[in-house]
Amino acid sequence: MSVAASELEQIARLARLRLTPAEMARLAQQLGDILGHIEELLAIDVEPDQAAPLALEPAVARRRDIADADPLTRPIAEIAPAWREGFFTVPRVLAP
Amino acid sequence: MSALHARPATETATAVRAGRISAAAVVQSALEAITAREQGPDGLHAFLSFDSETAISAARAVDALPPARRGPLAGVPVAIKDNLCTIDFPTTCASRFLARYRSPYDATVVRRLRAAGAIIVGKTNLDEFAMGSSTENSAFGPTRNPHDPERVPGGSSGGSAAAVAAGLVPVSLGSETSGSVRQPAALCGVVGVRPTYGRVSRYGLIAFSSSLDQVGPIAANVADAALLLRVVAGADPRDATASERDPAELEDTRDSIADLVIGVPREYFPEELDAGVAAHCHDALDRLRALGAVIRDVSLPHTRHAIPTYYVLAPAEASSNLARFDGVRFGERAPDAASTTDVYELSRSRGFGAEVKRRIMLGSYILASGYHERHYGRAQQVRGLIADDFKRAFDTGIDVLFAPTAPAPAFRFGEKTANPYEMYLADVFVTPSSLAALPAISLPIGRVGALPVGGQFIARWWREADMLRAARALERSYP
Repeated sequence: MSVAASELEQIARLARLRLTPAEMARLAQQLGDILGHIEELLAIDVEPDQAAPLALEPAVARRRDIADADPLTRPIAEIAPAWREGFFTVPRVLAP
Repeated sequence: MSALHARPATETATAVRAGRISAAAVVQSALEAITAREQGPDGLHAFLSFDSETAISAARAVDALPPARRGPLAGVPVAIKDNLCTIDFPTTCASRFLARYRSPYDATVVRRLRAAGAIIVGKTNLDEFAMGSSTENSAFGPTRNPHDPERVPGGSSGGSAAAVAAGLVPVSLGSETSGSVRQPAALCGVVGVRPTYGRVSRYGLIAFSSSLDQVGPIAANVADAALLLRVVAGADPRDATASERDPAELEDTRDSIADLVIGVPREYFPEELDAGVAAHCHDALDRLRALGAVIRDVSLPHTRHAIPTYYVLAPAEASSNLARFDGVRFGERAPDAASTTDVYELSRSRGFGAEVKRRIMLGSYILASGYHERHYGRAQQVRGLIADDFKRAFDTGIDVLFAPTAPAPAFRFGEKTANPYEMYLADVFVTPSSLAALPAISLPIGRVGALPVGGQFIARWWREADMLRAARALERSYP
């Protein structure tokens, strides 16, 4: 199976990855190879209603909705790279 | 007599609780061994970080407790895979992206180990973000196999397995998405456990594939692995997938396995299986038969579809889980980014290594419109068929399955790096049970030359006690 360069570029944009031309060429070949193996799944006989794979527990255990001690072992301000007036300070990422 | 730190964890904890030895002396001994073995160009490189001051001070705190409060792992040195959060060591996931990350909290499993008196001595190497089967994908260089420095220790928990195999610590924690505890345990000649999905909390485990990830113990013997599992298992309000089942059900002290029916899945013994591995598996089955167990052939017909199924589901989940590593919420931020898009794209492109990028791209491709409908849904259905295979086998009265853990002993560095799919096949015997959320244990069953061979027991859901009993009996049968 082959993956078109335009498809890969679109996927890289969605995945927020900026890849070099050499990386793109290598990935086109490797993903094509892996996807080729995945194609075999389409040939398996599956009952149409066979959907959910596993049901280990009757339901997911939900924790009780009660206030708990802060799990942080150090004050958050101590962990923050930069901190001002109760907020993390970070570089501007949006244009002013 | 073996070095103080290299004795079984059960013995060490008993001696520390009784006041016969001090936790500080045990930990000091472990740290000296780690320092000696890790140094130099030929070092093992099982650890990404270790810290004498932190560990010794934690050991002294255990020694200061009254004996009754010292806990079931009192003074036992433990190494932790570096994708589990710890407040006192870096947590890097073997990625440049998290090279300077310090977690503000301990993973639940780490908190439970400390509460039981265990001493965290350091963090171990892994394939970046636990993606790999050899530790060759670590951004900080691979770990060597203690039995042959030219060969891989397996992965992704290669550092945790090598640290135990080299006798640097008696026990460690690893994590499995698909075999990442069992496969390195087999290649390094130690014991590795994958618990039932939900048995152990993942709070503080950096997520890779949330429907598969599990934390599991690695040890030099089955009893130590079982002890570690009992300590870390159990409900956790911070992980909704952690089951409320009582960890006491893990206990089964019976020695006899005469009541056990052991299934041998024929799909796990293909012609391509390494002859030495096959011979040791057949020898192990002879031993189990001699111990009174009933051995029965079974078929798990969808086994061969496990790897392609896994490589649809796991990368899809990984591409979503790793979106948080964007240079803003987590990860090193590209200092030269001029726009928001730059921050994300430059940070991620520089932070992630080749295998992580490959899996993110594969996962994003699979989740993209068109492909998702055809392949993702189908892979979920095939996952159901694989689980049904196991259920049908267990429903015929089989208690545990026995099979090789890996198709061959440890391979050489670089042998499988050129072809990613060939590397993925190293996990061919551990992936089906991972997809089916089953518990399993790998233990050493012999050697091919200098290289260890592992065999695994796979048990029914929540029946770790059965596989631990079978593994203990088989282990005892070797001189």
